[in-house]
Amino acid sequence: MEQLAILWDSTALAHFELGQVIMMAVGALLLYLAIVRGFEPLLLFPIGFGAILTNIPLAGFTDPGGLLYYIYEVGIHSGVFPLLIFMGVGAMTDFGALIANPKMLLLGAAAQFGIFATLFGAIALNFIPGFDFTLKDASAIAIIGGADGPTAIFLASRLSPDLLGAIAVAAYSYMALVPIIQPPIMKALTTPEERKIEMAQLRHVSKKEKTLFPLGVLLLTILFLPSATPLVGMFCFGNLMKECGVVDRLSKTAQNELINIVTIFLGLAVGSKLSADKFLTVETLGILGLGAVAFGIGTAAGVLMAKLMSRLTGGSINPLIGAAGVSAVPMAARVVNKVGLEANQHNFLLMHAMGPNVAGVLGSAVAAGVLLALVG
Amino acid sequence: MSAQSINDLLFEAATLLMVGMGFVFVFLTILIAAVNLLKAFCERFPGQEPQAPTRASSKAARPAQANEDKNIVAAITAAVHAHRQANR
Repeated sequence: MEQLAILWDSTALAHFELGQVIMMAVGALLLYLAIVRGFEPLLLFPIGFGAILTNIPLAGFTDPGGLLYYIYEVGIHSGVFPLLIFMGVGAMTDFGALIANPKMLLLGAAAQFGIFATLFGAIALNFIPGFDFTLKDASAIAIIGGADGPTAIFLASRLSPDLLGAIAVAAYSYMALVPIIQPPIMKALTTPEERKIEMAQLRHVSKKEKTLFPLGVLLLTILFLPSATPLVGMFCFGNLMKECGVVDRLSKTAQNELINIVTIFLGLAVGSKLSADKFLTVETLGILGLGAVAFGIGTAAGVLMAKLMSRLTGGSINPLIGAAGVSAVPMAARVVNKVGLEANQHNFLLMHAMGPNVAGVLGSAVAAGVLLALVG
Repeated sequence: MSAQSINDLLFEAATLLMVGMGFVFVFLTILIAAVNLLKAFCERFPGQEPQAPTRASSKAARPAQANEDKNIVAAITAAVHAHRQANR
């Protein structure tokens, strides 16, 4: 009889807590979204599975000595994984559209308003009992508005590791929801005539310009914002690998095998932060709400800036492309293209939207650097 | 958290909002200037665009290749002719 009790005690059934069951259901929901609905499957899939593993009673995945504990410590606590992802993203990014039309950088800057406005909103939430966000927490939450997964994870790991799980899940979920969140905002802020504007074809950009560009960006970051150099430096490193043309093997590895390997572990490590005691709080609800607001405000600010530029240049800029200023490459640019085609069947805005889109990546990295320098 | 400290935090957040947005705009504006400089530099010193030499070489190669083709056609015609003569 005693053995029977010991046997029962060694099953998970005897140890399940309600929180763990709920978190496993959340993990299963993420798996469902990734597999069946195709929402950012590359990240939500490993995150969802990581969440299930983390909440197994007795297995101790996240206790010191457990698998996910080490993956988290090595990859995210150290800040290494998001930076490696950023290198891969750099190796996949073509700055041609931005170099051809550098004014698009202003749109990438305007869309970062979503980040800073949300920072304000997160602090304001403290008036509601149950919320207790410090300035660091608020900054980490606000970066969701940058719509850039690795940047959000990097900043959260530096400023507010306890909220990392919720922030990463919110960031990637909203990135998957860009085609649903953005179009209503874009249509509300523009007139049909403005959406029909066709833009002049972009000039040819020489290989030399593309090669010198990452070096120029790096130099400016070194001079003015050293706290952003981890992000911008790795990004420029990857981009120079691609553009210089002499290390094709390294560039291919950075944008394929390496980024895939890191994505697997990054997802699992983020999943390991989805434990009941950290995730099942009222703060998570606040983070999810603030994330949506951040995306919306960023999109609106980008569109309004583009509208202003369109007025000032006498209608040579289609205001829709401002929405691509919230990085989320290349999803946001595709959304712009789609909304543009709805207004004018012969208007292909994809290349024009890629400019603000990659500018948004730089913009959110700069914003992250500012937050690290001022709050961290 | 007391309302007083939240107000302080809100003030700090507002400062961050302004300083942060200001900095992002200034930084990216400098970057615009840098890209324009880059463009001017590359127009001034075009250097060797990789497309240019290949285009030049393909232009130069074309007549030579055409001559070679003619020679090959002539050789094959002669060979076929000789073969037919031999097997008649």
